[in-house]
Amino acid sequence: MISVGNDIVDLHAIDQSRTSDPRFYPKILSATEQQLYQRFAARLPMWLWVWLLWSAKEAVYKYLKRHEPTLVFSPAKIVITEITGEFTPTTSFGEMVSQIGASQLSITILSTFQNRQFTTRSCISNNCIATFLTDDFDRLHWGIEQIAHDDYKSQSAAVRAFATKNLSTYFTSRPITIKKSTIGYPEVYFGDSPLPIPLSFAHHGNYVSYAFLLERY
Amino acid sequence: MTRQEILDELKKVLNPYTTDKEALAGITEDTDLIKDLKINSANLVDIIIDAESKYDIEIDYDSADRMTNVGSCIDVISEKMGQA
Repeated sequence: MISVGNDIVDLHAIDQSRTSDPRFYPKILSATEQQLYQRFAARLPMWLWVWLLWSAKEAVYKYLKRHEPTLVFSPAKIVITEITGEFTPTTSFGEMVSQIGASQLSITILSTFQNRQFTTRSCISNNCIATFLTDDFDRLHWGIEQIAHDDYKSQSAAVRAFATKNLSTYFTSRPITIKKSTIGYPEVYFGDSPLPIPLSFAHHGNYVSYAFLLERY
Repeated sequence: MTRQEILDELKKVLNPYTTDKEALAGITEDTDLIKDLKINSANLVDIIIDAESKYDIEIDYDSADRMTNVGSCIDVISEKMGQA
């Protein structure tokens, strides 16, 4: 199965104290994940940990949803089993970053769901957490952009324009468009023909992110 | 509480999490929280916590998974209120 999934969390749009509320985080984290936190407590505040795991779970869900339209997002059932990498949220990408590959995604998160294992890659900047999942990270194209307005229409228009701009650099001879599938994920089209390019969008607050998988050219 | 009464109260729970006030004003049991009200998935846990507080109920994982549209939210809330 070839797919791609991503998620973005705007750290300025998060209610930190509410996230740490014992009524809140157990809705996202399983009991084993709450125990796992003890190993990371010295390096990451609880609220940031919760949203890092949330973004990994959401990326797994979006990766699977493309091929399993009836799948329901159930964050506590996607279980994080291991996390490695550099957590210190010092990286700052500025207002926009577009990359190929996972070298800048310094955090690796292993998870299981329905007896399947997944490896997601994340980064934490001063402003956001971004997570990606695909079948071949060397062929992953991803981007993060800070936008001026945080309403849905602005987010939706911005991420579409951002992805179209980056995809278009590979399709100079033919204009591509992005349409929404009936399930809700974006699809790349050339005229009326869908192209076999898995594409995923994420937005939260003042941040949007795209991810797509291209063959090597 | 009737389903209509729960729906009227649910509008107040959903209000802080959607900027589409027109869609919120016109919600029906078929309204999808993410697709129709454009609620960010990162706020779904907020809605569950707010509903728990408002109705003095506890919503478990399996019930929370079902709360994808207004009708299923009303189902869960009325079931949990019945158990209280």
